[in-house]
Amino acid sequence: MSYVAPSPVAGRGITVWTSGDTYGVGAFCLATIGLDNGASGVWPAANRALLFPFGVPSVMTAYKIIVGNGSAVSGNVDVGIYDAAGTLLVSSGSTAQAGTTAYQEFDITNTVLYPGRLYYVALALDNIVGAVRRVQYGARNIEHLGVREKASAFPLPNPLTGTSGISSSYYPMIGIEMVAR
Amino acid sequence: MTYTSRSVDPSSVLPLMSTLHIYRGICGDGLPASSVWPSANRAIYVPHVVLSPTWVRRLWFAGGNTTGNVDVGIYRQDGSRIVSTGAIANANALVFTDVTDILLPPGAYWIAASQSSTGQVYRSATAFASRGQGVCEEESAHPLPATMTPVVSSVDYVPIVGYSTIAAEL
Repeated sequence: MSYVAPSPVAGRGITVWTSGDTYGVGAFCLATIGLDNGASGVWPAANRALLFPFGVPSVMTAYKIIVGNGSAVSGNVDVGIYDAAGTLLVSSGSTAQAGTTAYQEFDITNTVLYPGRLYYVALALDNIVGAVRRVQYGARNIEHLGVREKASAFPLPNPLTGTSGISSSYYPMIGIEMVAR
Repeated sequence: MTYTSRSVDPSSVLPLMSTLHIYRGICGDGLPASSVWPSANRAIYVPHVVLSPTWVRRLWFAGGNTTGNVDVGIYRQDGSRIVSTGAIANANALVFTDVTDILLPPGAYWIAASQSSTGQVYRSATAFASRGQGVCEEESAHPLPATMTPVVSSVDYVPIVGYSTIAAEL
């Protein structure tokens, strides 16, 4: 299956991916390397959360988070958005990972995001059997992009602090669907 | 009269801005890796554009080993230094140095780094043309001078250095 980010459709917003540079979600350089060059990879550690920084250019409402599932699914997933202080603004809550080699969409409570503020989109799995589409960009290189990780973070805690630099060469495909408010 | 809402560049809030960022500096194809600094006491200057007011609260470099000292700074387009860390011991890690908070107005800047020896620092992929991206260099420039005197880059080596918009990690 070829992964192509869905195009905006009538009545829906844009989707901002960790694989692109729009809105600064994570890795600008990955826009060059591209997650299409990546592959399915099992989650690096049970209950680990990965956090990707981003901002928005104007007031936006986030209403969905999307994950590119890999060739195996297992256990449960939690996705969410944190502010710069580590306050959990919204999350899906523990949800069964479903749909191999497919996008899994998580509806979240509509959440208003403001320009000039730092946010993190977070993804956590409770096992190391489930797989997500990811690029192996090198742990250090991912850390240089401001990506953080947190152990024992399933379901996503509130607040979340005490993160550390990335310890695995694992940059997953996550998207936030949002619309101008 | 019609007023349009002002847009804010989302990058202005990202925690780690650096020479890695495409459109804002330099990004090479492939994986950055640790590599020997091309020449002792050489400074390397990387163009960097700020589109929205952006805070600088720390400077950082991606060290590759413990050899030598590294100085990281930011210069105005005219070559005058805004801020620098002074010589900081190299380490095989991300090394942050607190600086007095500075708000960079939109404009063109240089992100600068120099190394006292040929210690290792993470750098862009080798198959990347520094000169074609406007990267410059200066010899005998460690620590970083108050005013840079750049010449065009002679090697393909873009160090992974930059600044942080936040005072501490989450």
